[in-house]
Amino acid sequence: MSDEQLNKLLSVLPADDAVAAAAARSRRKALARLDEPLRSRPRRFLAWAPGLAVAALVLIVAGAVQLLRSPAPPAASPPERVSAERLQMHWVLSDGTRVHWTFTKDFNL
Amino acid sequence: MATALTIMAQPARPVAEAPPEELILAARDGHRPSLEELLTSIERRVYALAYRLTGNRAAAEDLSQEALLKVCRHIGRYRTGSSFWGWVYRIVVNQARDNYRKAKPEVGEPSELAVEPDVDPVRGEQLRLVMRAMSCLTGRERAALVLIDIEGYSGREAAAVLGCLAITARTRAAQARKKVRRVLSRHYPELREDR
Repeated sequence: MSDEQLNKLLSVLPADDAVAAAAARSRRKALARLDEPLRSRPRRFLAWAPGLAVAALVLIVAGAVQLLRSPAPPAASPPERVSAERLQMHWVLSDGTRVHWTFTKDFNL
Repeated sequence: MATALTIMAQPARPVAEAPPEELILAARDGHRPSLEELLTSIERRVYALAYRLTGNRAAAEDLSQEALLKVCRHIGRYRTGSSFWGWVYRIVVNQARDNYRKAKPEVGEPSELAVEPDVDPVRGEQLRLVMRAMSCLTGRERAALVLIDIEGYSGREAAAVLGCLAITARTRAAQARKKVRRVLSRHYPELREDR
């Protein structure tokens, strides 16, 4: 059987009046939906909002945890007292010996 | 058992005349009566295509309703001078593809679809067998077969609707034809291809 005869077979449809009635129903329903108010349609763009909020919250909490865990910066050591005439340095050796150095402005002890 | 094949006489493919351009333009401009008249002029062809793509009345009604609604909402996108039916058919085929993806039916073996009984038992039987055969096609094969073999589109015209190359559309139609011929030849031996 030729392709043309096969195509004739494949082109079979229900009875004309059934097709006409079903097509008219589809048209009426489409027009009815066209008249639905816009706000009754689901607003899909809000579907991702909760996920975004959760992600932001997780980032904030993670950042706060990171800040709490990091060590405090070392306290700055007090500056050495320096006078215009003399420079004094104070050492404490590991055996507890205290050493005081006093330099003149010419760096003489 | 061989079954006498009675081919329902089908009219030659009618030239799908597009609705008058002024009707389309008036509908595009928001003239409601023109929009309704436009839909009335295209509803039967849209439904026929939907039926061939889905294989049963309920699914075809849903598909044609969705497609006609999209025609209404997107009439502003139709470019005057281009093929109006090509634009409408593209909407129907794309909607069928979306519905197909959501449903994810099993493809490969012919299935018994709920084809409604017809007042003419011969046509009813042919309808059942044809839709059963087409149920073994993929959505793409079915669309290509319908457009090229049934609607009479050229490979290039079908490709414009399907969004593929012309050779792809023709190949899919040829594969589909082979599959349906094989299934239908179980009931109509005269359809068997001579090897």
